[in-house]
Amino acid sequence: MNGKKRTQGSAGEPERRSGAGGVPRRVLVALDAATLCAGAFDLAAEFARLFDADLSGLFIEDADLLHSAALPFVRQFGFGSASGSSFDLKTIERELNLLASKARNTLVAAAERRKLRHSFRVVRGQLASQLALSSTEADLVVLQASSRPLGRHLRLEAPGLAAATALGCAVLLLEPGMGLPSSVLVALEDGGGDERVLALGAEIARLAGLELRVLAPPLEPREAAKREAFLRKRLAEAHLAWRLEVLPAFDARAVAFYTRQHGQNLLVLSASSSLLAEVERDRLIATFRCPLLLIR
Amino acid sequence: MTESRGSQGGTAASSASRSLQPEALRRCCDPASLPFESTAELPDLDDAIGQVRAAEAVRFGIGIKRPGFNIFALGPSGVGKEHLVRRGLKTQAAREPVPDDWCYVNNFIDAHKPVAMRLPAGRAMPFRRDMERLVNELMVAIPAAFEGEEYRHRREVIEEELKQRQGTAFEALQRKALDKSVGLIRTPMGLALAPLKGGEVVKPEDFEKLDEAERTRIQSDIEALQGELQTLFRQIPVWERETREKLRALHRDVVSYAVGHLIDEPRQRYRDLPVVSDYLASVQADVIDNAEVFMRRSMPQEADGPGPMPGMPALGPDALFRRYQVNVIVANVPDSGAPVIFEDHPSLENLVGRIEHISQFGALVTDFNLIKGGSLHRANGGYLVLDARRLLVQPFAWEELKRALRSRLARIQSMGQLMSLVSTVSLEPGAIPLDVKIVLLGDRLLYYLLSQYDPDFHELFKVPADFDDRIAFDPDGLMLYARMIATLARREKLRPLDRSAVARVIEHASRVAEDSERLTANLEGIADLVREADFWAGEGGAGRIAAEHVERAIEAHIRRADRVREHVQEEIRRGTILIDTAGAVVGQVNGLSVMQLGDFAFGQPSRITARVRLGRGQVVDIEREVELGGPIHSKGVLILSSYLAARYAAERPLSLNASLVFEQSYGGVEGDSASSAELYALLSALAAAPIRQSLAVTGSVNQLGQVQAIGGVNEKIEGFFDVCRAAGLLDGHGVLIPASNVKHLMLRRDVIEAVAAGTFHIYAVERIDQGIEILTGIAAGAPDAKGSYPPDSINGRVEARLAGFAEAARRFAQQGRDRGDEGPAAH
Repeated sequence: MNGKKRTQGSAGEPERRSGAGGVPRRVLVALDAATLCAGAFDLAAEFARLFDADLSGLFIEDADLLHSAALPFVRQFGFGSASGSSFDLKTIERELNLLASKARNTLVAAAERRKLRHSFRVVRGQLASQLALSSTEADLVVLQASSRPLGRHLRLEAPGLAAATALGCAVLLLEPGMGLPSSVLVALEDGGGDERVLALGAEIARLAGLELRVLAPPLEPREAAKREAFLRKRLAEAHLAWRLEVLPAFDARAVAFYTRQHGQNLLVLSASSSLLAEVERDRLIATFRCPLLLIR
Repeated sequence: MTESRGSQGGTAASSASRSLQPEALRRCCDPASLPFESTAELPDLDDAIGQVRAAEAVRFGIGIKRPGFNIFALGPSGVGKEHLVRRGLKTQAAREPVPDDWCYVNNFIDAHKPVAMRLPAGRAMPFRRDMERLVNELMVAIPAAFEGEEYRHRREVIEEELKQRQGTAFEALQRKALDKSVGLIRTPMGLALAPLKGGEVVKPEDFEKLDEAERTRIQSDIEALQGELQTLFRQIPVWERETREKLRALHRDVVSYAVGHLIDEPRQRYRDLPVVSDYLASVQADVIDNAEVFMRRSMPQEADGPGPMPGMPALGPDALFRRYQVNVIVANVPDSGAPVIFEDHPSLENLVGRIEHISQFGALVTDFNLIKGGSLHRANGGYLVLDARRLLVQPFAWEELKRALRSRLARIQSMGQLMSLVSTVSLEPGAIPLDVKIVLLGDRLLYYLLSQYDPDFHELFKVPADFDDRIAFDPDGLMLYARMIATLARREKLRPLDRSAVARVIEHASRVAEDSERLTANLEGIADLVREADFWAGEGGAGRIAAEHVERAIEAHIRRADRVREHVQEEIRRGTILIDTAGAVVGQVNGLSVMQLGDFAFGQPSRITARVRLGRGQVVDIEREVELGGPIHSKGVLILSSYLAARYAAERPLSLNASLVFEQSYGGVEGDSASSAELYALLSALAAAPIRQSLAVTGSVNQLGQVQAIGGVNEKIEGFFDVCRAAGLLDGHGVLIPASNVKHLMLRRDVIEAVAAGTFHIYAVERIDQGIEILTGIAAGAPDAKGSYPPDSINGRVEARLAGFAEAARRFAQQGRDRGDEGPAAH
C-alpha cells in the first residue's frame, strides 16, 4: 500500500467498532477513477448518519492505469469518438489528482451537511489489494458495482467488484442514480447468515423509519405461521412496521421480480446467499435494480 | 331672351303681387284630418316607408343566387337601410338550409398547413368533444399499456439483448486480449489496452527489460486489439439504433392495441363521414408513432419535462396533445336557417379570421388551435352585412373581401403576412370554399366613388339598392308616417302620441325634407325627435305626447345647438358685423347664406357690395381672387359677366371693371345661391339705384336672367327675419326668394305671423327684373322696338352707363393709338 494523504474530521477520537446488532460504526466509501460518483458519497453519508458511524473516503489511484500511461504505445479510446488519443503519465496523474480532489470535496460536503466525523485518503496501488487493506478498518464498504457509463447503455463491471464481493465486512453495492430506499427488503433463507441479515435489516429499517419486508421462500401455511410468529417475536422490540412476503419461488428471478415491482428498496442479503450464486457478479445490480447490502 | 315688362308706376303693384300669402309659407298638417286619436290605435308598420325601389332591389339581391350579385344598399344614414336589409335577410335566411360546420385539424404530414374539415351542421362541436375524450382516454390507456408486465418483459428482453451484445463483445475482446496477456484498463476518458504480467499491467521499466522481439510482438498485439476496440466502439451506436427500432416497434405493437379499440368508438360514430374516418386513421397512426409522448406525460417527475411533438409549439403542459384537438371555426345549429351576420368592426382580422401567436421565451409560436375564424366564415352559406365606410377605412379589409368573393375561398392571412412583415413561423391554413352574400350599407357618395374608381366593384356588387331620402307628403304617405311613429313608440316603450303630436312631427319631417310636398326619410332623426318629445311629456307628467311636447323637443334641440347663431346675431345687433336693415344704398345688398354646424343649420345675412369702373369687361370676384371662393361661386360670378355683356353690350365692348365682395367673410364662400344678389348689387352700382336694405336676397341666376332655386331657403328667411326683429320693429322687411323655392317653404310660425301682420314679406321672384324692381322701387324697363330701354328704368340706366364706359374706352384707345400706346379698351 502506498498511503499518501489523510484528512481527519475529528482528530484524536478513538476508532469505533460495530455496534449492537452488527450496526456498522465505520463506513468506508471506496472509489477509483472509473467509478467515481457523487451519489455514492451521498448514500454512504446517509448510512453513516443513520448508524451514527464515522465516514471515510478512499480514492484509489489504480496502479495499472498509471503503468499503462507510462507505456508510450498505449492509447486511450473514448466511446464518443472511437478514436485513440495520447496517454502519458503526467496527464493521467493530473487527471487523477483532479478526480481525487473532487472526491474529497464531495465527501467533505456530504459529511459536513450531516455533521459526521469524516476522513479522506488517497492511495495508489492495485485496486483489489488496496480495497482489501482498507476494508479492515471498516464495518461497511460502499462501492459502485459498475464503472461510469461509457455510452448510454454501456457500463462495464467496476474494476474492484471482484475484490469487493470477497471482502470480510458488509458491502453496499450501488449504481449511479440510485437514491435512498423507501423500504428495506430482507431475503431470508435457511442458513447461518440469516440472523445477522434480519438483525441488520431491521435495525436499518428502524433507524431510517422505513418498512421492513421479509422475503421468504414458499412455505406451507403452518410453516408460514411459524415464521411469522418467529418474526413477531424477533422484531417485537424493534417497534417497526414489517410484513412477511412469501414468494412463489425463492430464486433470483422471483426476488428480482418483487424488487422491481415495489419501488425503491434496499435489498439486504447474506454474502453467502444462494441468490448471489445464480447471478453473474457484474449483473447483480442490474438484476435486482436496487442497492444491495451484502452481510458477512 | 324673355324679359318681364314693367314700368315705374307698376313696381309697387309688382311687389305686392310677388309677396306670398301666409298659407304659402308652410304646409300645415291638420290634426283633425288624421283618422285616429293617438298612435296607440295604429297597427305596426313592418315595411320601410317610401322605399319601394330599394325594397325591390333588396328582395332581388337576396333572392338571386349567382356570384357577384351582392348588394350595396346606398342612401343617407337614418333612412332605414339596415332595418330593411335585416328584415329581408331574416325572412329569406329562415327558409334556407343550414350550412355545414367547419373546423381545422392538424395536418399530420405538414403541420404548417392545417386541414379544413367540413362537417354537417351541428356535428363539429360533438366531434371536438369526442376527440378530447379520446385523448383523455389515450392518456390513461397508453401509459397503462406500458405499465403491463408483458410490455415490461419485452422491453427488458430488447434492452438485455443490447447489453448482452455489448457485454459479449467486450468479453470477447477482453478474452482475446488476455490470451495475448493484454488487459482492458479503464481510463478517465474511456478504455486502454496494456500488457499484463501476473494479472497486473507491466511496469514501464520491466517492459524496457524485455527483448526487442517481445516488445515488438506486444506492441503489435496491442495495436491489433486497439483496432478491434475501435471497431467495437463504432459498432455500439449501430446496435443502439437497432435497439431503438425494436423498442419503437414494440411501442407500436403495444399502442396499436390500446389505441385501436379506443378509436373504434368515434370511428363508428362518424362512419357516415369519410373525411372524419380518414382523419381518425391519421390520428391512430400518429398516436402509435408518438406513443412515448403519452408515456412521458405519465412521468411528471422528469425534471426537464417532455418536449414538444414535431411541428407543435410547447404551449403549456398539455401542449403535446394539442395536435389531436379539433379547432371549431364555425358551429351551426341544425334547423336554424342560413346565418345572417352583421359585422360591426370589419377589420381584416375580424373579416377573414386570424392566426394568433403565443409568446414563449421571447419567441412567437402558434399552431392550428390558434386559428380564429372571421365573419366570412360565420356567414358562409348565408349573409354578411357590412358598413361600407367602416370596411373601407380598415387596412386591407376591402381588398381581402374582394379577393375572397372573386376566388370564392375564405383564406386566413394576417396583415403581417400580407405585408410580408412577419418573420415568425406561421401557418397556411387550408382555404374554405366560400358561398356568401355580402350586403354593404353606405352612403351614395361611397357607392359612386367605388363605381368610378374601383374596377372590381361592379363585378362584385351588381345590385344597388338605392334608398330615397324623401317620401311624398300625401294622404297615403302621411298615414304610413303616422304608423311608423306608432311602431317606434311601441317598440321603444314611449308614450303614445296624440294626433296633434303626430301632425307636428309630420310638419317637422317636411321641414327637415325642405319641401312642403315631401317628408324626410331620415327616420332616425324623426325617432330622436319622438324620443325627446317623450322625455318632455314625462317631465310634464303627461300620459301622451302632445304637439306642445314635440314643439318643445324641437325648440330644445335648437337651443342646444344655436350658440353660434346667437353669437352671429348678437354681433350683427352690436354692429360688429355690418348689416343694414333700413335705408337704401347703391351697390349694396343683403345676401343670405346657410351655416351648417353638425345637424343644425341656420341662415345669416351677408353684406354683398359691388363697385364698377371703366375696364376691360371683367367682373372681379374678390372671393375667388383670394381663394376664399369655391368653384360654384366663381361660376355664378362668371355668369354675371355673361349676363351683363349679352343684355347690355351685345353690340359693343363691355368696357367694365366690376368688383364683387362678400363683406366680412373670412371663412370662404361656396355655392351660387348669392349670384342673384351679386347681380342686383352690380345693377344697382351701374344704375346708381339704391337698394332697400330692409330686404335680403337669395337665389341663383342664369345667363338669361332667370332666378333659380337654391337650398336652405327656410333657414335663410328665418335668419334674416331674426336679424331684422332683433334690430327693431319689423316694418316692410322681407326676403326675395326664387319662385321655384316656394314649394320648399316650411317656415316657423313666428315668421308666418309677421307675414300675416304685413310686417314681413317674402317675395317669390322668377326673373332679375322682378327682383330689382322690388329692391329699388324703380321699374326694370323693357326694351322698345329698337332694343333700347326707357332711360329712367334700371335697365336703361345700366345700358347708358355701359355705353358711357364703352365710349370712354374708345376715346382712351384712340388717344393711345395717337401716342402709339395700347388703349384700355382693346378688348
